This record gives sequence, C-alpha cells and structure tokens, in this order.
Amino acid sequence: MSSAPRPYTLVAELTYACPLHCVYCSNPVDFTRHEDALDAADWRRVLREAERLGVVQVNFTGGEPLLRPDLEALVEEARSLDLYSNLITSGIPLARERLERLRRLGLDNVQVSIQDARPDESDRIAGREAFHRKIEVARWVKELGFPLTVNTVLRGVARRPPRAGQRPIPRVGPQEPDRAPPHQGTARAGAVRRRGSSRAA
Amino acid sequence: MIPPEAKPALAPKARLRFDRTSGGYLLLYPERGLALNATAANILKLCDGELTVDGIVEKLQGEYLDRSAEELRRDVLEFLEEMSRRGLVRVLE
Repeated sequence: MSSAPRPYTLVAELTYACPLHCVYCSNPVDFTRHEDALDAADWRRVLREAERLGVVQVNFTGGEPLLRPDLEALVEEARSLDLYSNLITSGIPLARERLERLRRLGLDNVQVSIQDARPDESDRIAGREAFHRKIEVARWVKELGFPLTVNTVLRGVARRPPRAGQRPIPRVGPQEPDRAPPHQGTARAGAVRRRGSSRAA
Repeated sequence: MIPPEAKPALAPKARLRFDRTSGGYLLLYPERGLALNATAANILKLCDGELTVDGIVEKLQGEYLDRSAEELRRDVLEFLEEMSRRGLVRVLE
C-alpha cells in the first residue's frame, strides 16, 4: 500500500448563495459575481480530477447547494466515480420529490443544519423562519433511508444549553451517535474561481 | 456480546469499497472513513446480513490456515464488536 499523503475528501462549495443569513456565517456575500461560478461541466471535471488525486468522499455544500439546479448531475457524476457523497444543506428549499430523486441518483448522506434546539432562537440565528421546515426535511431524510447527520455550529451566543433530561431536538428516527472529527485530508474547491474561506449551510 | 449465530451486516450509512490509490479497501461513512487491512476487509465483505458469525469463520478458514477455528472466531468477534461499537456494523438476530 502507498502511504503518500493524499486528500480523501473534497469540500465542494457549489454556490455562496443561501436562503439563510446565519449570524456566524463567514461566507462571502458578494455572490452577485456569479458570472464567475463554475458550471456543471467544470464541476464534473473537478470531481474526476479529485478522484484521480485519491479523493473518495465529496461534501456538496455552499452556501446552499440545493440552489444549484444541476446538483443532480453532480451527484450522478460522484456516484459514477464511486465517491461517497454528502449533501450539506439548510434543508431549504427542498421538496420531498427532489430528495427522492437525489437518493435514486446515488446520494449517500444528508446533513441538515439546525441553528439551535429552540425553534424561535434557531430562526433568529438563521434570519428567517426555518426550524420546523428543517425538522420536516430531517424526517424525510430518515423515511427515505438516508443516514442523517445534524450540523450545529457551537458559538458564543449558545450559552443556555437544554436542561438535563430535556429532549433537545424533536426525534426524527433512530441514529448512532457519531461526532465529526476535525477535517483531515480535506481539499476545498470554491464556488467561484478564487480562494475564500467559508462555512457550510 | 455478539452471539456466534448472529448475522452481521454493514450499517446502512457505511459503504465498503476498493481504493485504487492504496490498493486496499475503505469503509466510508458520513464525513469519515476507515482504511482497512486485508483481514478487516475480508471479514466485512462477508457481513451481508445472511451469513452468521460461524458462517463467516468457516469461509475464512481456508485463508487463515495457521489459526484454529476457535482463535479465528475470537478474532472475528473482537473485530465485529469494535465495528458495532462504532455503529458501522449491525447485528441481525
């Protein structure tokens, strides 16, 4: 076996546009420069090149990756390259039919962001009403047989955790606990042709 | 404890696949993955939800002639219990 350093995961930031406006987000907001965005053909090439470099897992993120109408084509390409694909989403906008379609095309995992365990606080942080929709999306994810991961950003304003014994988030189904590790062996590809630090939806 | 008549299967979130870069097998799951050694891959390939632990041991015996069936069963169970603790293998009764 080769032990040369290699990337295992590609974080593909498909767009910086997002329906949420989370207070902690560090995404660029000048995405009016969308004429610079990579199109589907470019992204498919990036996926193929990443696979050749050793990447085995791709996180489709943004911004909100669901805002890309060509997300399906990218999921299909990832599947054909045998990449393990994760959709990292706010859950908005998502129709159940689209989620079913992504499942059929080979999407492996869905990660839904929840900004806070309390609906009103979650919506305040997200800058719009979204909490109940997110819970509904999380239910669809489980019903369709996807693994579900939940992404919660820990931050200074979350100083009041749920009391002991209080169920923090509505149950959407059984799940094994699994904390994400610090990212290792991760390559990033931004939505536009320049470097930019960013956060997932 | 996993009983010898249990039928282990990969968790739905886990995907076992060949890795052409290393020539070995990987077990991938959300945001993580394990690089498997040959023995781990051989065991997981047999975790199809149909074979029992004893059935898996029997299949492996031809390849691990230096181990007795009892040693092999102990090793397989130890590995499967670790994978089960990590939520990557489920045990069907």
